[in-house]
This record gives sequence, C-alpha cells and structure tokens, in this order.
Amino acid sequence: MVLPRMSRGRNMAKVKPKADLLQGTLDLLILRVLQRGELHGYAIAARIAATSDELLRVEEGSLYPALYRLEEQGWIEAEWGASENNRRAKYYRLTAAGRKQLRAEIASWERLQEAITRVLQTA
Amino acid sequence: MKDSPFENGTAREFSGEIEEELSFHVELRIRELMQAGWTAEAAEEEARRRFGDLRRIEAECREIRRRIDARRADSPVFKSLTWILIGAGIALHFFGSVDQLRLVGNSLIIIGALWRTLIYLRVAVIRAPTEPGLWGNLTIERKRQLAGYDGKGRTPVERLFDDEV
Repeated sequence: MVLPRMSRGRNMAKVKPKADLLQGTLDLLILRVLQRGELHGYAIAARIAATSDELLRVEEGSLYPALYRLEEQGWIEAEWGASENNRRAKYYRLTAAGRKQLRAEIASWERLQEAITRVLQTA
Repeated sequence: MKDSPFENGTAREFSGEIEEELSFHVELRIRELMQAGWTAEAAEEEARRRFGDLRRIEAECREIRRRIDARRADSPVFKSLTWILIGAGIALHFFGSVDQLRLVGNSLIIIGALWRTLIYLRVAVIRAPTEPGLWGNLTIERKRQLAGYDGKGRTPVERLFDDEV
C-alpha cells in the first residue's frame, strides 16, 4: 500500500507525486523484485523505483534493515560477489521459503486492496 | 568521489561487512547523482541525507546479523552431527573388532567433543552482551576494531563523507 505524498508549493501540478511506502509493503516489493533474479541493495531500490515509474521511492535507511530481517526469516539469502564495477557487493536472492511467502503476501495484498476499494466505493 | 575506505581488503567481518555494504550503496548513489549533474559535494550531502542516520541503520542491521549468526552457529544440524560423531565413536570404541577401529572411534569422540565445544563457544561469543561491562566493553572494542572505527569513533562510512579525510 502506498500513501501519496503531494509536493507543497505553487508548482504542485508540475511535479509528479511520489509515494512513501507503508510499513509492510516494502517486504512484498523486495521479494517481488528478487523473484526475477539476485540483486544488491542499491539495485533493489533502483528496480522498485524504475518499475513504478519513479512513483515509489524506497527509503534507503529502511531498505537494509528490511533486507536483514527477510534474511533472518529465511525468505532471502545473501552472498558476496563482484558488482558491475568490480567492487565487492552483497547480492540477495529469493529462497524457496521466500517464494512461498511472496505468494502469500501477494494474496494478502490483493485481499486488502479489494477491501479498501469496496469501502471507497460504498462508504 | 573519494575512494572507498574498504578497498584495502580490511574490515571484512561482522559490522565491517555491514559498513562495506552501506558504503557501496552510498557510493553508487553519489555516482548516480554526479552523473545527473550534481557537484561532488552536493551529491555526497544528498546521498547522506537520503540514507538518514547511518549509526542507527548500522546498529539495527548489526543486531539482526548477530541474531542470524547465533542461530546459524547453534544450528540443530551441526549439533546433531557432533552427537552422531560421538555416538559413532563410542560404538567403534566398544565394539570395534581391531585396534585400528577403536582408534578411529576414539578420534571421532574427540573430534565430536571439540566441535561441540567450538559451537558452544561461538554461540557464547556471538551472544555476548554489548552493554557496558567488562566482557561487553571488550566485545565492543573488538567489533570497533574489526569495523575500522577511527580514534574519533567514526565509522568508515562516516569518514567517507568527512571532508577532512
């Protein structure tokens, strides 16, 4: 779930509204992005931003604790490797348990989305 | 952009690795901003602003890492292996038909016992308190040393942003 964060000021209409991630949705997005292959932290943030057409911005300060928590849960695993510019980088990938969790989170998200839509349309 | 403080191959373990990871992210962000036309100074400032409180993030990651390491070290698989070794060793020791088998049995008992002790010690070290206190202070100092803290108590990531360095 996202919250629109409208820019303040007169030029509001010219600025593309961005969205801050609500707690809980970051895990879902990370798992989904990693479903396509292993990535390091920066690339995960960049992929989420690019895929959402820059509408979703991962707070960088919350990205790494989230990655570590997911690793602790056993949903992702990490391994050091060489990055594109030959620097050592830590790459994360989805585990079998992570894939299962992703399916559960997507189902949960769809139920929540449906419920909110129902409330918005009828309340 | 300044060179990474980690490229000399030191500070690889524990919080050092966390800092290396955070530093890598920040450096890529600085590079991206500079490619978008930011000056080096402005890019560093913006990257730092976007990342937020480095100390808090690093501490949070370190705490989770500690829990992961403790759980892995205390893995039931490893513990079971040590008991299997000891059990096999005892069986060979008492029922081995020749001296060589009994020797192998004794070796397995010793290896199993040593392995179990190492697991116990490793878990104890990982779970050692990091609050002030004799053992805690020693642990903090060791971790700081591993992480490459300088005399001013700054982490390598913070040094990365420090214009004086």
